[in-house]
Amino acid sequence: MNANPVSSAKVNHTLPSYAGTFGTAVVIVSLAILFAASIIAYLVARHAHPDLPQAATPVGLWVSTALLIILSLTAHAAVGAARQDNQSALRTTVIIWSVLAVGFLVAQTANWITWAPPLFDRPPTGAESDSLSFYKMTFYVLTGLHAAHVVGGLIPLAFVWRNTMAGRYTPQTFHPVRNCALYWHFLDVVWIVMFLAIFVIG
Amino acid sequence: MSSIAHPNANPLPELTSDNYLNHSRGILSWLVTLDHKRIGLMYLASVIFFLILGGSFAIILRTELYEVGRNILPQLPKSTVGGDTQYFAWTDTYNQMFTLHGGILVFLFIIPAIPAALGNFVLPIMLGAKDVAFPRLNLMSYYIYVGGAIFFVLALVAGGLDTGWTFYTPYSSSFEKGSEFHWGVVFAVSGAFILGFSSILTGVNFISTMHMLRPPGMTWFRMPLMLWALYATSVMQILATPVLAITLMLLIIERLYDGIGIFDPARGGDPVLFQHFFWFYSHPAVYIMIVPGMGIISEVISTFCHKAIFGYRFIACSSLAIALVGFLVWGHHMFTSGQSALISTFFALLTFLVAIPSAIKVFNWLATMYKGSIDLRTPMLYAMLFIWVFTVGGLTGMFLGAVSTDIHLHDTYFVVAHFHYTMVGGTLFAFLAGVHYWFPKMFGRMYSELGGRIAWAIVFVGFNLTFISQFIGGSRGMPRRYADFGEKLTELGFGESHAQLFIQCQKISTIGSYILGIGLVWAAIVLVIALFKGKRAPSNPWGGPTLEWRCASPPIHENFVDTPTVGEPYDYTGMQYDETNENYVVNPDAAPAPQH
Ligand code: HEM
Ligand SMILES: [Cu+2]
Repeated sequence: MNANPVSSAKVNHTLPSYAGTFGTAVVIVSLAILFAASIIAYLVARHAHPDLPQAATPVGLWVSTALLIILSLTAHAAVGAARQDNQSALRTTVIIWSVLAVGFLVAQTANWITWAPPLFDRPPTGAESDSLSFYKMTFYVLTGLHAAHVVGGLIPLAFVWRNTMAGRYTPQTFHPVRNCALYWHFLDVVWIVMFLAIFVIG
Repeated sequence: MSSIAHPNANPLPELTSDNYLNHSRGILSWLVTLDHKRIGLMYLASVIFFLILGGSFAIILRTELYEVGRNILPQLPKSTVGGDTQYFAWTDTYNQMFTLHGGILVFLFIIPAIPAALGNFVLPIMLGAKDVAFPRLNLMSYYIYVGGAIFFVLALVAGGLDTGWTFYTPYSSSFEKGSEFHWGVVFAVSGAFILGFSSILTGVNFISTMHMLRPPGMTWFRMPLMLWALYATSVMQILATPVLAITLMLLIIERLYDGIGIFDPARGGDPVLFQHFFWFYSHPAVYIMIVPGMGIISEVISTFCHKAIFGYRFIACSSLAIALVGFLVWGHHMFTSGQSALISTFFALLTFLVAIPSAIKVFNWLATMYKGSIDLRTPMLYAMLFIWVFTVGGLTGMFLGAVSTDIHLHDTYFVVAHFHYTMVGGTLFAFLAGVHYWFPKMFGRMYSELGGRIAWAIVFVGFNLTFISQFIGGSRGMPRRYADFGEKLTELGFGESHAQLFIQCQKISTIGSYILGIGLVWAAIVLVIALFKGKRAPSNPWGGPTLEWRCASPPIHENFVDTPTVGEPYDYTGMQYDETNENYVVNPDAAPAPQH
């Protein structure tokens, strides 16, 4: 170990530029456990009811899946644009990104409504409606958990939007775009895993 | 070490000179502060409030158990049908009270007490940084904590719950379902859920701080052991707490919605699944409670033995080892839940494994004390009490971790005594050690050493009396969570001699708890007096080697004027006692630390 003391620079609170990325990554690790646990809970509960029929995939889900994948690609492009100081491309991609994000939530809301005989008002009865209610329950819990995180993701996206429109991102200061994109990529991956778990494996 | 009247010692600055406490004024400057030290103090005030609340419940419970039959617990009104008020049984009140006792003390006191309150205060200073990596996030964690606390209080107002702090199904899925007391469970579980996020965000912040803000010279293996402990704790917080979050969320949904059950057996759910999920979080959580305490003990022992800690790397790495192995032992809470014998055997083996890093720490602390010039100040007394009590708690954990003995001991007072030895004797005493140790740093005043020591002695006697009697009764089968030890015991098949023993054990335990209570109140009074009347504290009253003792007491807003010089941790070379200010100072002419 090197014992050379290094001293006496003025104390300052400048974080390294990648600190935000590091923090985002730690949050993502934690959220990954959250989603993994929720999916495992679903699979175990599903396993306990082997007699239940396979869920039919509402068509709307393919739409929201497609939206989210395109969103991920756009976010990636936005980071590239910011890194190369291509302001107009950055602006375009951030706009598309935001539109897709809102679009995803709209699509999910539509899915929720088409799936929603008033779940919380009228407890279903009988074996046949049991299976239905099970799928609906897991559908709402899992997609609801995901949607809550999508809504949360709109907040950093709004910041990115504002600073993009003000032209504040340079190749030196583009890290918030990257952090935001990282989070949205994560939402994309979680969604795909969830989708597979409910409708392909389950 | 020598003592000097330091030739050019400056007199201590007045408490009114600029420091973090008076840097900005007004209640608002506290409520929206981004200063980690102030946030730490706000946490400290909050956790102490809940310690008092949960502790009062404990005293009421113990008073109830003092005599056979009903003593003091009221029958709470349940509902009024046609002018006729119906009541809960007083035993229901008992169940609700121990649930709130456990829930409040675990989720609102023990888990945040050391990392969020003391950790927030000392972490950046010990690291040599100005603040945590994300100060806004830090403030947000505090308010999330407050939000969770509000939900717990709502649960109390809404009529409580009787599930025990573990929220086991089917208690939690069926308690007062459909009645007007329906909301107690939902509120309490939501409270724990929200507190989980506070805990996760604090973990994220601490990890990022230690990765991003180490000043030049502060390598990983120069970090004080308190920081290693906080690092390991943060890792557990971010990896385990999400599992609790999802479990509680499913529980809330299941409670509110009558579809197919997830955990509720009456609706086709699996209550053992709940236990798996709950303990997957809660076993790591017991280490979230104890590991930061161990960090404090390492600091205190080194300082008051004036000696570098023995086996620094072993202690640092054992924190991480505990964090990792702690994830693999949750099944030892479920030996009697119908788990297969094979799986139980594995969990038992892994449980023994996790005791090794704990033992390593204990041996290293003892080795540090060996031939040290031990200074028996109050923090050191608490640290020594910790070693003894934690050893008892850990060793009794071995009996619980062995399948065959656990089947006898499960759900007896032996378990209750075990976890109070580890949680009160471990975490609470480490917390007290830390509060006394850093008190001069936090407030710039010294507490009365004599008063602190007397409180310690009362706590020592009271604590052991309270819980040793529970070990004795528990080892003979005294069941936990009983409101009354009257005739029912013989109905349950206990012989007369056992019944008599249990009644005596309960009595002694209650007397002990009063003594413990007096000791804690005494300690609080000593500290409160010191807060207003205490002697002015110098920057380093104990001769501590770590960085927090090199900034002023209380520190300035930025902690340090210049980035401190970071050398080896626990380096006592050149430390001298300056009698003028009753302060320890480093003589700059002393030989530099030996390199290794
Ligand atoms: C040396 C390490 C330890 C071992 C081997 C160990 C082992 C165990 C075992 C096997 C049980 C289950 C007993 C049963 O329910 O039948 C248990 C319960 C418990 N332990 Fe430990 N333990 C250790 C340290 C700790 C620490 C450090 C804490 C907290 C700071 C702690 C807190 C608890 C709690 C809260 C429970 C019971 C929870 C409940 O059922 O309400 N333990 N321990
Ligand atoms: Cu455990």
